Amino acid sequence: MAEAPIKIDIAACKGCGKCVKGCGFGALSMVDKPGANKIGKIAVVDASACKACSACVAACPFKAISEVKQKVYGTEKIESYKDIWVFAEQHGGTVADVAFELLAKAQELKAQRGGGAKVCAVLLGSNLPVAAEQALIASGADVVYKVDDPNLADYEANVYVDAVAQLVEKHRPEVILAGATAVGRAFFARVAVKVRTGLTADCTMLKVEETKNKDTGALQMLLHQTRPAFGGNIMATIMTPNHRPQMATVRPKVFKKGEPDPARKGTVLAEALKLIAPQTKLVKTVRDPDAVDIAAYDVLVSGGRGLKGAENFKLLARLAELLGGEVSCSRACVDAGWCPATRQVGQTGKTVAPKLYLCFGISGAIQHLEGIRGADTIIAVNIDPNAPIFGVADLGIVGDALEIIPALIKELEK
Amino acid sequence: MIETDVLIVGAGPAGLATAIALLRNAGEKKPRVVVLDKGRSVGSHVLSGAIVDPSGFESLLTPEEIEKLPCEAKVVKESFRSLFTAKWDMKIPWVPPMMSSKGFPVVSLTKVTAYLAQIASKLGAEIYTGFAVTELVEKDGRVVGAKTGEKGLGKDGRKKSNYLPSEEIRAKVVVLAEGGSGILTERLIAEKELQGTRPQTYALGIKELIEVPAGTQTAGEVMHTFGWPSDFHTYGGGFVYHVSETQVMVGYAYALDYRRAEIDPFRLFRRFKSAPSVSRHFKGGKTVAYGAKVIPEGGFYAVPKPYAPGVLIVGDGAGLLDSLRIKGVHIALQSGRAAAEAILANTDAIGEDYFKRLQATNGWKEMQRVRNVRASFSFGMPWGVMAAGLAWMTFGKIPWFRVPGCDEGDAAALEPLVRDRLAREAADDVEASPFQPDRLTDVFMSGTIHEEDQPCHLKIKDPAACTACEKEFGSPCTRFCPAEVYLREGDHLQIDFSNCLHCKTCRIKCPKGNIDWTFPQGGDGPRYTRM
Amino acid sequence: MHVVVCIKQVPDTTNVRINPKTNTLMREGVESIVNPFDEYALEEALRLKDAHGAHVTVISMGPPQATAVLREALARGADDAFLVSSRAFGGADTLATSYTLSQAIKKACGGKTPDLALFGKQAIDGDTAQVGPGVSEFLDVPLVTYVKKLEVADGRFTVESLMDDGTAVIEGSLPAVMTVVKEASTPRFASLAGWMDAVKAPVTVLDEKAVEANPLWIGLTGSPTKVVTIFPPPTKGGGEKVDARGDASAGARAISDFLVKKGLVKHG
Repeated sequence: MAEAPIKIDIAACKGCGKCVKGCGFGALSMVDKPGANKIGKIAVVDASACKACSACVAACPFKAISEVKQKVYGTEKIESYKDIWVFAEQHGGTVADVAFELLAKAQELKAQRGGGAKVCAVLLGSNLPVAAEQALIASGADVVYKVDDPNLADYEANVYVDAVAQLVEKHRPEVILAGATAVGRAFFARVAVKVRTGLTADCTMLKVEETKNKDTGALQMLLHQTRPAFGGNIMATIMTPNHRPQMATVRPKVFKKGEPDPARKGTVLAEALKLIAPQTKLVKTVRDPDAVDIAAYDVLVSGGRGLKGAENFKLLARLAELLGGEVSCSRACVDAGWCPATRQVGQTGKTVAPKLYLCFGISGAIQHLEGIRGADTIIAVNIDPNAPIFGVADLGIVGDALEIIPALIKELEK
Repeated sequence: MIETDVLIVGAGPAGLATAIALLRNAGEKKPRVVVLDKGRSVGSHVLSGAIVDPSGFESLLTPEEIEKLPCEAKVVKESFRSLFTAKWDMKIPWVPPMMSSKGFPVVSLTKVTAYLAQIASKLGAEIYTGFAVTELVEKDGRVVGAKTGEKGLGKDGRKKSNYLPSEEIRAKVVVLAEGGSGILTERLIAEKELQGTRPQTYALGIKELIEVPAGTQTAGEVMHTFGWPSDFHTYGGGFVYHVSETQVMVGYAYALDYRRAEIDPFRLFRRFKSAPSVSRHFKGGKTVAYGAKVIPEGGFYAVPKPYAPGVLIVGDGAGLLDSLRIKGVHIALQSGRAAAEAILANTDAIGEDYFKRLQATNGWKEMQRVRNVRASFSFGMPWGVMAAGLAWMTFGKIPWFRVPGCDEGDAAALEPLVRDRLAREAADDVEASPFQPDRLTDVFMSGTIHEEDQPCHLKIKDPAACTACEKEFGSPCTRFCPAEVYLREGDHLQIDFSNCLHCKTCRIKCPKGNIDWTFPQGGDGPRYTRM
Repeated sequence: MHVVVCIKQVPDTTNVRINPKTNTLMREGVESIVNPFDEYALEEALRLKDAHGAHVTVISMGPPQATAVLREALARGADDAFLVSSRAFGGADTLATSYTLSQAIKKACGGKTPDLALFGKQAIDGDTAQVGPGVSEFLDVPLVTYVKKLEVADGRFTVESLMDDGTAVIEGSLPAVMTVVKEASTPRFASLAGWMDAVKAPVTVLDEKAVEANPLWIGLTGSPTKVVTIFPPPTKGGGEKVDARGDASAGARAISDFLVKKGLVKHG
């Protein structure tokens, strides 16, 4: 039976309830206990809801709550784990952009970590071109662990898990990062279980900092992993203090990639592993031009009632093309028949979280805003200076969308 | 074919009271009681002020159950104010004794209903939500059961991959507890000619829950207002109830027999909130929930015959409401009990037996006492106030005759639009603030959701009538709907049915009687959790 | 054929907010629902029941009120239901949850591995998408993710899996673990008759002893990741406002400069 990670000293508890307010997980509540103190209530903890974040310890003005040191069952020989790894996702010999973004971040983490840590890229594939490893080194890899094997010809989750797990056992990285792509999110989660460690998905912030381990009291250099939860309505910071490697996935375009330096030096280590055969077979890939998933795009160019007609959406399409994104719309445009429902953003449409949401002639009613909660940057153009969209826009332009769109296209074509 | 002893349509206070009384008093042989509700969960479509007359719970719930009723405050301080203009109002020096609610519980009816459902379930009631009962089944002129609505129909009426057909349930007795302006109830009243002395008339109640900083207000303080922003001729009034340390309920009820086509009840609600003696109650507060529903306030003379072979009508659907105090929950509960007793007594005439027991309740006697108040108000406020005083003091003996009024029904009362007044009425003179959200934001806070890909449940009977209405009345639906469902786009009437709060105002007030309110997919609609 | 579907009860996250002053989750008025992705996984299982007579078992790990989602699954047509619940499981992260669920799956299938274990792509509260893949590792069976179409015949499967840029058609043999996306078949409604049967059906509760769990691998003890703080996301807005009425090119320039500054477009 698991013990709660915090202990409440009933004698010291004054029944003020500040701990209940401080708990982000509803794990604390006040129960009647006449005579225990002036208020006649004491705090109790629900062990199944407690996440051991210790916010209550800090919240109690009477120091009635203390942490119960948990026995640590972590990775053995934790100090022997070194280096910061980046999984270099590749398709057809071309390394995905997200890998370069993560290498840039890894270099930052390396500087924060110190202690002689190296940045290492993990490159899996078959008949890999030399350009791939060179590109990785140029973008920040000090070492490239390369596994070139026919079983890795197509991405197959189960073989990739085997390969990465073997490398982890052999070389013991302290941190591994991967892009949270369809590929990365799936097989990476299985690697974490195979090597018995913690994985935090979809991180938006990463840093390495000296942190005190709550259970052992020791100071460690730990990776702080911050990510959104509850559909983006809250942010959580997570750590993996007692297990290695500390694993995290990051969505593409969250971090910026740096300028590659072809003169950079690095080592390529070819690893010959005995791998399992693929467990499933990829029969074919079908690209579907009609099915557009606006939620998959990092840049959305969105039109609302202010676009006044279906023809103006063609302009938006050109703008989207220039920015490498897709066209989306508000509910009014679907009602008016200017756009298909698959492109609708909002409470009754799709929820999107692009890096850039550029909208024209959208007023920003709350039903629409609900759909763009997770957008990083919002630029809005609307003729009405009091449109609610300006309340959430990072840049607001008061003006006629139908004039500004062609002007912007001209500007970008330069 | 599903069979049950009793089928109750609507899991509101009246329906659940029926279920509780049935199962509690059945003795050894408990009947099978099935309760169906079109909301997503119990209480999703329940909305009221509410200060409840506790006499409704007597003989229905045990003392322990009453003790545990979800209620954070009892009325400790009450006041009545007459508002004259936006800035000037006057407190009535004493609370008229017939309107006093000192000591009554101030509750969220949504929560109380959920609590009643728990009690009913424990007693053995089967409560199923997310099922709209769309049709009564009759055999040889007798109601023998009902049908649930289909699910999984597309916008064009085609069956989608998850199509679920209508299901039929047979019952020995059907109890209609649909609430105000219930669809099956209205159909039954028309078909079996059950209408009361005059047609039912309604008020639209619009309500918000405002969260206020703790420590600034007293839980249990309540205020009722009348006058501004209603005009002299229209029965309208507002309320402010402090439900707890941090929550204030604010609402405005406006009679739907109003005459002026330019009126927008939602705007009246906003104006009401802006009056200084009202807005001081939620200083620093923020609206967190919203809803709207019609209140059947026609009173005694508008009550239909509440039964027909095989079926009983309880609660708001039967117009059981004290039209002076605007209190109906306690009578709804009493009617549920009366219905249950009649069903258990199982005489040859359950309907008549139910009506007799209903007429013996205190709630009914109250309604009788104030039977002329509502119609008197239609002559103007002073007459209504006088009638109220007389009714109370003489226990309803004076006036002894039926005061004529409200006889033509709500829709017919609307007069053609005087266009000059439209601009003035539409001017939004209310200062923006966290407790004055715009209509769409408020709709969002009702939690209302409908499956988008389904037929529009609001059916326009004759498009030509809408064109005629635009000329004559200026499409008042675009103003009286508290959820912005109806919008005029040039010569086209756009219907955003997914905003619908199921308040029923449109089917009542459309001057052409052109809106057929049918059932959207079961489970759709508002998601009230603490109204 | 035996198909297991793992479903989770989650708060309706469209309404979950953090109180910016106290950094606590504001729970009042938030309803609990079936995780939407899990409904799609359940639908695939029920289609296999319709087509091949598969036996569908639903499992949910959670507090006692999670029984509600199991009842809903039974009302839609699942054959039996297990609630995996105990104080000992509290505070579990995705590793501990994957372990606990895989133990429960084995228990629910009489010690054997089911032909197919289906999961929704991710839970809308945790948003990690890790438990499905995690369970596949503990059960030691192949994993296929983002399934939007599933067909089974003679112990072999063919799926359409959603990739970032299209659809991949993948074949393999059962047993397997799959995660299902919302682009899959529309979940069916539970009929009234279905609900009437479901409220009477038994739900077996499994605690840590029943699933024979290693106490070091469950709950907080078995969770390598630890949540350290939660805080509200950065509030949006308060950005710059440019008046470009009558001067569209000034507005266009303001946008393009901003895009360049943010690195969202290359200035060429």
